[in-house]
Amino acid sequence: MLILRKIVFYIFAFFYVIFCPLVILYAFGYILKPQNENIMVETGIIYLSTAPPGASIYINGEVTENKTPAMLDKLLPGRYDIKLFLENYEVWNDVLPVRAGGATTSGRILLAPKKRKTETCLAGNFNDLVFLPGTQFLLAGGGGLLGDYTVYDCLNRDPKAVIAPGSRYAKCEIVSLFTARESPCILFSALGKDTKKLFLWVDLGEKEPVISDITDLFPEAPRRVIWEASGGDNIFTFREGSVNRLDIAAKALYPGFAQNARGLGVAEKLVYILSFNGDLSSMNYEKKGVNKLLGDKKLADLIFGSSGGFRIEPFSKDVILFTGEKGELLANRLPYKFVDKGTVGTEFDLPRERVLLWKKDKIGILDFSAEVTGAVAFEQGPRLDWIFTGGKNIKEAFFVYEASHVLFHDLNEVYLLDINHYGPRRLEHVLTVKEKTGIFYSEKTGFLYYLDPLSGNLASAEIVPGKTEGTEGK
Amino acid sequence: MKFIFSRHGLKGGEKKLQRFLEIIPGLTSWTIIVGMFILSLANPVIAAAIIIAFLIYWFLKLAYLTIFLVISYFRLSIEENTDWMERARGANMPEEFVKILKNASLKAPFKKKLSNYFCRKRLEHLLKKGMKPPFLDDIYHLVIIPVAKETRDVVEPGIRGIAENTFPSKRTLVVLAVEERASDGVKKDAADIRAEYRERFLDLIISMHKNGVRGEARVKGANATHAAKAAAEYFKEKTIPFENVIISCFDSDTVVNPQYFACLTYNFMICLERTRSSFQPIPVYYNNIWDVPGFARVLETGSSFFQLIEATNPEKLVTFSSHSMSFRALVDVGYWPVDMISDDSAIFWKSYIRFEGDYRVVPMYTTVSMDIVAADTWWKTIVNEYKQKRRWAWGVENFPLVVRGFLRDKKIPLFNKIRLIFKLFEGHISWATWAFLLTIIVWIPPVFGGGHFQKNILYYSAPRINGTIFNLACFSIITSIILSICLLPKRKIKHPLLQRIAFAFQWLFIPLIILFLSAIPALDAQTRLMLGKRLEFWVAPKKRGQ
Repeated sequence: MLILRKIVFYIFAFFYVIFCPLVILYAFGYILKPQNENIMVETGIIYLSTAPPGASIYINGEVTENKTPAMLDKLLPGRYDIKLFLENYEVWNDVLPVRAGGATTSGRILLAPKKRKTETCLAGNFNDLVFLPGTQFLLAGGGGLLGDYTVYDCLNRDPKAVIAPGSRYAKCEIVSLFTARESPCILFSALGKDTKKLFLWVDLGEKEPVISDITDLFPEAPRRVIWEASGGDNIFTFREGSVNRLDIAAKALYPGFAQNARGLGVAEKLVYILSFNGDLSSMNYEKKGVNKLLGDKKLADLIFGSSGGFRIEPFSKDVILFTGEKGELLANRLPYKFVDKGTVGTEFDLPRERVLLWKKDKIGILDFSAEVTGAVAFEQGPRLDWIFTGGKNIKEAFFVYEASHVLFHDLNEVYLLDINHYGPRRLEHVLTVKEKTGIFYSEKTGFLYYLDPLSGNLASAEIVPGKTEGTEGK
Repeated sequence: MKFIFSRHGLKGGEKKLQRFLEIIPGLTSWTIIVGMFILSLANPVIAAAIIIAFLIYWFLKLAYLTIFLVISYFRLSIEENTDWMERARGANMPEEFVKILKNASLKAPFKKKLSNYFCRKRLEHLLKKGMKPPFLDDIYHLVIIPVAKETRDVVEPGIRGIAENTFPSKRTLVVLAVEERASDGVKKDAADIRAEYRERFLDLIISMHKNGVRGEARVKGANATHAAKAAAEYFKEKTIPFENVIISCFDSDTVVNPQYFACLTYNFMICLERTRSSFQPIPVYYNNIWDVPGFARVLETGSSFFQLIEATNPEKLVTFSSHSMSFRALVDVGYWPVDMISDDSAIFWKSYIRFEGDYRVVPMYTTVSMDIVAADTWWKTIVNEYKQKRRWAWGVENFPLVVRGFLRDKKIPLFNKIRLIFKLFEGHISWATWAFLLTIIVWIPPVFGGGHFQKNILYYSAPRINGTIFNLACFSIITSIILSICLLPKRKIKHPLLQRIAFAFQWLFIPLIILFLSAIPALDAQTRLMLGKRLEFWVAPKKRGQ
């Protein structure tokens, strides 16, 4: 037994000594060079994943046995022409670089359908489409009266009236409305009977929309109203440097929360106030725990200028964005000012620390993950990359498919931009929407929601195949 | 060599060396676990490469062990029906018995042929060396059963098993080594057992071990030593030479195979260095296997497998749990350590150093059955299992003593020292670390490696390679499952097939079991040793179904 044990031991030891380095070299991409078996070369891989999956892969014109998702290995360093074929979808093509020991990833390829799947969600000649960012709710409306609006739940595919037809608010004319990221609530400013201005707080998160008339909490019409989804029933109003806190549940007004303010923001149950005297402070809803983030007027003037208001949006734990009235985009990161003017909107990609921003004519990505700070001669702030230029009147933009694509609305057209493409960025025209209306893309369903240009119906178009557009179809 | 196998009474440099060596195992295990964790986050590429190298090593070791598990299981199965008393009688006339075996093999079934072949080979080896075994009728057995909390229902099956063994029980002296601190009920149970069984043995005596003896810890070894000294007096009085006595120190719940003492006697007789040897049976945990939760069954089956594998490697075999040895050797070595919890393995190391390497463990292909630790509730069973495994892992306390002993010794070949130290050290380190590497660390580079790692080919190739290795390792797991089912004791149950299938599925919990009831208790023990927070002996509760 001992001899047998020794023999087996030495065989296994020999096997390990030979086999282990070979496996590790293989893991690092080393193979014997094809046609020249005595030379070891370092290879790389390409990883391809598509939505929908199952596309045939061609490398430099030759078909492979793989179908997406697939890892193509043992590729010598160089550039490879990759084509993907899937029935009923357009051919996808890119030239991908492969470096020795490297992995080239095209992990979020959206195959463009030859005929895009669209569906009517809600029939009706709508003129207005409003979405509640970060939620599954959108509002489709017609004639400008509250009773004309219908809430559509994209996940449950469930339409319901914002206000019951018989309600006394149904005939109120909408003046303006306010929404907040990820909040299922909406604040309407409307004209009621006798042209009395009303403020109606509507919670769409309940089974049926719940309306609260909170007009009494508004001594005067605010310029801005902000709140956060996790902030309970607290909202903040802003008008001419004065900030008020409102507790909707208690129907209580706390005037003078801040004075002399030129900027306001809320996040993580903290209120951020930028004042004209150059102070930037955060505090809790009770105005306690004040933390002065900036107290240098000269620096504040240098960054924010001496006039104009700002919307403050804390992006992450230590990054704060400021959007000015003229469309300036600033951040508490070097070089502070990223866009001088014209910013129309922003969209956050928190996992990848990126901000999508757009002006009327171009779309950019502000990448905070690219920051280089600390022991370097020159610190490098976040990088702004303009990924699309030449727009005419870009109104909305959305990150799509885990921020690998950008869907945007320019004039009446909707486009899909592949931002992960190794070659020139691919721009695909998706569809045309009704004039002067908005669009909404839900990452949860993978569908685009829009008003059909001919019928005015609320319709949906599949952008990311394979996701379910709601669970309880009606 | 004169070496005090104890951590007590050390001074100066020796004391510092002992403390330093106590720190080494725990420090190594923690360095491996924490180091690999940090490396996986800081440099996932290097970590992934190390993990691949480790997994290949693990897989090869698993395959290697599986081969010998199968061989050992087969070896055990071929001796299943061996008449060991016949063998022992035959050993007294080796030349004739070799011929008898040769003739008997002609028409014997395959397993019997093999069994006869192994027996013949050993006898021929004995004859070649010109050695004659001692007479069977001169051989006596001494069985010591330490009792602390165990009641009659736990102890009696073992006593009955000894009485009903095929070896004549009238040549067996049984000592019930009762702790003075034991309850009156336990003491009364011991007295009742003595009254009932005394006549069936050479004698059945009760030794009462006092509490708080100077220089002793509250450990089983102190009680067993006290009992062995009492037995030594008894043998002296009866003029029975220690050379002819085989001592077996059993756990109180040990139930020996009916052939155990015959098999032990035979192995003792034909062993060339019988007074410098320990004899190790295969411990199995079948006394209450159908009465405990599934995870406990899997865990203890693993322990049996480990011992089966170890049995194929006598050069590195160390005594474990219930085992036997020459009484002469035990007396010469100064009995068991009285201040160590791991008396089962410590007695081997103590003997190995005392006899300057002229000591060994002879594997025996017979079983002793013990209880799986159990409790009334599932959770308490987990806690008890944890404590028992930690106690087993406390065997790491041997490491500093063995290293010190080897440093002092001038006669043991350096190669043997290195080999044994490495096995002792590697055994404890892998016990505490492998489960962490296999179940947690292996996933860290791909999950937390970050964007930079995703651009490296290893991000994609490592999970594929690791997956292939894990799949290949499944063959070993499946082999283990099959063997575990084959080894299970027969029992008249309503749905035996269903129960055995359920038993197979219990192996799916092995990643959790090896982490929480094997690696963590081992790490706990090493950490305690490292920090100088020593374990107290803990008597594992046993529970049997009615």
